[in-house]
Amino acid sequence: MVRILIHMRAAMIAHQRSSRFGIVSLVALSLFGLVSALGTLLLGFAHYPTPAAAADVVGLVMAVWIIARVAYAAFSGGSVLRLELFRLQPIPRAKLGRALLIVGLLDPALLFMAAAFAALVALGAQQGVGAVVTGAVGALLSVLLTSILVSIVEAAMPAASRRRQDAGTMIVAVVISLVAIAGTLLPSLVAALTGETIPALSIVVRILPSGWAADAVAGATAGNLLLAALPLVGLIALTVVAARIWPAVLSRRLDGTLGSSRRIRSHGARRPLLPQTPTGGVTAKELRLWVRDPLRLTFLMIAAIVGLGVCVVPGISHGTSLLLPFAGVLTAVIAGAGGCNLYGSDGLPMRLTVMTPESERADVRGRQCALALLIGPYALCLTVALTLISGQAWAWPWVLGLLPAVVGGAVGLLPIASLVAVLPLDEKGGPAPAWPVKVYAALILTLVGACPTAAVLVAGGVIQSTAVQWLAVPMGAATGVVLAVALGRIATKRLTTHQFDILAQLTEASSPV
Amino acid sequence: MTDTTDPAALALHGLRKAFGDKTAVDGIDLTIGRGSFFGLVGPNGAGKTTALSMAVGLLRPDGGTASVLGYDVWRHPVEAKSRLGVLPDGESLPQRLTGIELLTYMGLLRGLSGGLVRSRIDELLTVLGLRDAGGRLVADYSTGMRKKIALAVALLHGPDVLVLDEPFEAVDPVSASTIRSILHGFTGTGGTVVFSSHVMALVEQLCDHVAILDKGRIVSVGRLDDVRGGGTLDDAFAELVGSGHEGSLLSWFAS
Repeated sequence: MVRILIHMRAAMIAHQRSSRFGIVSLVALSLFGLVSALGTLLLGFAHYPTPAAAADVVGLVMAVWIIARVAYAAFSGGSVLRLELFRLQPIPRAKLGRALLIVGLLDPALLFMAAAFAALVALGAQQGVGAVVTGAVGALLSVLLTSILVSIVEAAMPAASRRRQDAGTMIVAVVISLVAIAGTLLPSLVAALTGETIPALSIVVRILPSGWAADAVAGATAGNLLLAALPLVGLIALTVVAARIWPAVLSRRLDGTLGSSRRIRSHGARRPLLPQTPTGGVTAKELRLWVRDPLRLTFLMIAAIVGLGVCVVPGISHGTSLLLPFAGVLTAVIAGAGGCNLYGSDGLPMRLTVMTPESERADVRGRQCALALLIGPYALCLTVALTLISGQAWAWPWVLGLLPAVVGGAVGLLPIASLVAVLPLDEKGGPAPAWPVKVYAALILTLVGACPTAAVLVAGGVIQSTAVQWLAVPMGAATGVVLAVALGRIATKRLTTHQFDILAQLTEASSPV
Repeated sequence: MTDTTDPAALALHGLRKAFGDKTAVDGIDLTIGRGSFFGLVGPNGAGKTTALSMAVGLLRPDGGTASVLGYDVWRHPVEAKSRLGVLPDGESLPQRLTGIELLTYMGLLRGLSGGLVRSRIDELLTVLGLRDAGGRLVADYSTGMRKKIALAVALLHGPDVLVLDEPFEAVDPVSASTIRSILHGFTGTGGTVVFSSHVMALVEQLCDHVAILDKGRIVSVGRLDDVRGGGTLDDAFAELVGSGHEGSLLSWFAS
């Protein structure tokens, strides 16, 4: 049965449609994974003041790998093999569970993780054969445990249950955001662990199961058999427990007992706040979708958490409030980039726009207005509040100049980016693999839009003229308005000329002919 | 540019579409008069949905033309689409809007005033039996309810020509009866209905004109009585398209 499932999975992956952009992005992401794995592996060759510090550093990076993989499992909306397929198959659940776990081991991400976790072997090699063996066993157990956790999480996130998936996606959004913030902290944390300056952090890393394999290598290095064996026994026990939980989760999924309850929304006769015009209608629709669509809300949450976190963290780690005033700017940039694929993620409802004559302009402007309303006031309030808290008066022209430039840039970029290299959702309703690449491109382009304003600010700084720096504020406002209007106009033209091609692409992705 | 001499409600000329090496629609010519109740039937994969998608301007044909009341859907899309009402399939509806929100935004996008949209929504939801479900998300609708809200979307702006792909699929008998009376009322006031279906009895009951499509080609078209001859539409269909494998037994049944 394992062989059949492997063939089936391979066939499904082979038949997944992918554009040229998607293939290039997949290659780019694979390279990123490879570089990250090699980077982690190199940590095993570095020299540390103590074996414990070495174990802590590797343990911390392993935690990031494991959390990221498990979070992705939840975010991606389930496994390639749709579990519902096996509901009516007369296969004993235990046998099916075992087969699926074996198939799960063929995850390419686990290959990267295995290469990364080989850092433990490298670490052990600096000490002796015992530590090498301990590192190898620890690395393999960590990969195995991750694989089982991925299967459990995928089964616990039923694709058929929209509500549950929505809720799960929200949780994952928070986890991903926290991981991203942890990523910015990683160099500081590695330095702190290497220098053993934050004992509490070392304790946390060692307590987490992701750090147990590294703990074992540290124990083996110290020649302490008990400290080498105990973490490995712990990992084995956890793996066994996870493997025992798996059939129960699988059964609940297959029996449909992970279903969701229906929720009825009341509709009060509220007075409409927005104009009852085509653009007003699209704006109101978009505002609701930004709040109700888990993918969109995920990006908003990531923008809020990362935008704030990245600017607040240096205050915690280095005691500087230098970045604090820029939280609003960063939030606006990330939120805007999150909306770089709206036509792709909205999918076939685009037919309604296509069938409505002369609706292109209203569709584009409405989407722009909704984003401006969502991020503009929030980012402005955040900027004003945090600049006041930081007490950095010099930052006022910077943030008040850059904010309208990036908000306008994001609002301008939103529709045009969504109409270029459209990426339909994958078969599970999740984002296509190439999506992150598009988001990063949008991030960069939004920042490029703020370059003229930044140039004025830098020029003012160089000649030490506050007056020149304050010129950045009207400059930023003008740039923002021009970008929003001009890019919106280009997007309207593109929507008018390319809507049938985009719709054909979305239709093909939804139901291939 | 436009045909002004009493143009047909829907006219297709030499419509063709291929996907890769598979020809889905192979040169369809069809003229549907105003006030007709027109049924398009054909086996699975005959090209019905592809033909209708091209006819309403959702899918660009490889060749041929389609016009609505004399307006070419590709050269004069605004004029053509203003007169068209198309039943979107369930996947084309935004899942995270309530029925009322969906209709409100579609009405406003069509340029209707807020007051008119509200009054039409009220009437549509009442007639279609969706009053209690209007405040629920489309994601929570049953398949039949999605068909009904999609029909409301198609009717909201007061079109002249309705194009409906499988409008009765998964609709309960009571709702089907309601939809039938709405559509009859629509044709009674000069509107034209074009719909595809697999259910021959339904087509016989509703339509005055019918076309049978097979392998991307029209194999028969005309008044219902002319197409079915002296027999039933089922018989005519089987004769033209070929019967299935009735009476066949799978080899392992006997074992």
